[in-house]
Amino acid sequence: MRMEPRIGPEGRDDELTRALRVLHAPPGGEAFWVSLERRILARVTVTEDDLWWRQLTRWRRGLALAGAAAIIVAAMAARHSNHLRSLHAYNEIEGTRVAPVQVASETEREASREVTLRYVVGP
Amino acid sequence: MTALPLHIQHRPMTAPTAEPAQPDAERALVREAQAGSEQAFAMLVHTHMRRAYAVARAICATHEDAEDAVQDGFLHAYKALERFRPEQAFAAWLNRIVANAALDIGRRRKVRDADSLPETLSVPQFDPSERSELRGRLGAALEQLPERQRSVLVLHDVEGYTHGEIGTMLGIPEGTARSDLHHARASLRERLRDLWSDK
Repeated sequence: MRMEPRIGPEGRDDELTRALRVLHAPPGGEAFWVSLERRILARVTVTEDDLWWRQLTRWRRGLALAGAAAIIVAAMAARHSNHLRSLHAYNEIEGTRVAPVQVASETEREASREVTLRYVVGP
Repeated sequence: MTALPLHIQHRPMTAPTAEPAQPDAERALVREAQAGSEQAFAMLVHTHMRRAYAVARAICATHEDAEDAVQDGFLHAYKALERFRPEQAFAAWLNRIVANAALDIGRRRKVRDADSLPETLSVPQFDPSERSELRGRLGAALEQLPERQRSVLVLHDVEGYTHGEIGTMLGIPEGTARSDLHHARASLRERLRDLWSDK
């Protein structure tokens, strides 16, 4: 005799569903769950690799803030140092007297005039 | 790997329950776990591992793969815990991670199987005492279903998830989950038709 599968609400086939449940049932009863829980915890609880990773993650925000602060301080220091350098260069230029330059150029001019004179007057 | 911390080693391993914690209590547990409490995370494992296993088993072809997927899933969840927003449903978030771990294992198995001889193809292991013709045939028929259809069928018909929840877990639209379910059922009925005819 041919039997049609019993199709329940939402198209679910009761017999198939029962068989699927048996097929997918976890083996070993409560001992299985206890063992699985232990294995999961053993894997997620602190491993050597995890240690640095977790610490890093925990301190991530602090490290980011410290990094940002360090960048800001470094930028300000660089700017200040540039400013000082410019000021120093300006002061050096401002502080340089004009006279020595004139004296030097006059000396050069006199020397060249003397050479010309010697050439003209000379034998 | 180092040994478990004492507070986890000495915690009584009572029979796990599938009952989810109250939302507020669970939220508090999640916050504690995010703050670094391993005991809080252990409680979350205790509460959610049965459902996580069911999700993994629906996707994986074998019980052993499902166990691996659950362990991988919890490990990934532990590492990603910082990014979890407590206003979300923890179970849904975790199930998605476990489903991804199970899909990854399935993909890796496919690659391994493609590289190995046909004799080594994995076949689900059933308890011989529970083997009946229907279950034996059902196992074989399930093996022939496309992976996604099989997962959708088991998640819906066995585990009772809605199409929307399944879609979220597997990363497919709800309509696709609905149509996969329809095709999976039709395909199974077709493959097992003679079982009913013989009765």
